[in-house]
Amino acid sequence: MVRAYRSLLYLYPAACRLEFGDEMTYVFARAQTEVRENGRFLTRAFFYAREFLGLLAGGFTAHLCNLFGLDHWLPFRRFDMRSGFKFPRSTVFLMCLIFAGVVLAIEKAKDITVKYGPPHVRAVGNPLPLFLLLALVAPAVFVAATWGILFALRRTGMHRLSNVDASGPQR
Amino acid sequence: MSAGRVVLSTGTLYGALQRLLSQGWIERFEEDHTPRERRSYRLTAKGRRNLQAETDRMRHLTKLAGLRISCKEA
Repeated sequence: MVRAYRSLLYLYPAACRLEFGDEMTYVFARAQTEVRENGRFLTRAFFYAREFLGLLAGGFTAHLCNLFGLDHWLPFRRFDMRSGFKFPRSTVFLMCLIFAGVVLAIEKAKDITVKYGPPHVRAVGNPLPLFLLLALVAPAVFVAATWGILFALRRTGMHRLSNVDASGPQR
Repeated sequence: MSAGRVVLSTGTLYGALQRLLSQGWIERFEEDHTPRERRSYRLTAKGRRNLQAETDRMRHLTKLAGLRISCKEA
């Protein structure tokens, strides 16, 4: 099994494999020994599944970081809100990716309509600006307006949070 | 350390170690009488500062939660 693990390390970029490969194999071999001694069949199955998936995910992330030179630019594992990191940048990246996909799909559909659609459909103008307005701008305006109303009614929780004194003694 | 609550695969663990190394939060050091494949890591001064800041942040959050609970109970 250690040999299989070592082969799977080829999923990682070469530099990464050279730096950490021996160490990872050593840690895996030790963990495997422990699981074999103490674990039941199900525990062992979970162990191997976790290791395999971990290698796949780790290899993918390492390649991504290698390609873009981004060590912490894509914090895929950090979708939680932190005080120093209010809005995960990965979300912006994913949103842009999805947006690009949607725009491409619309353009493709438009091409198909122009080429093969009936004449009255071909006469229809470009629906993209209206779509952008409806899909992006309108929800943003709606959310901003709702939040503004809630803030004015002091229902967002921000006022209560600002009143809390964390340095004071606990009751 | 976590009493079995957190179990990491080696892939995940070494991904995290690589990030910490590249950010300069941890460093490698040599230990005597250990196998060649086994490496040891320790916190750098920067890592210690960040750990302290994160611990303070969590302590602050716990305190806020405690206040919130005691307010509800009162």
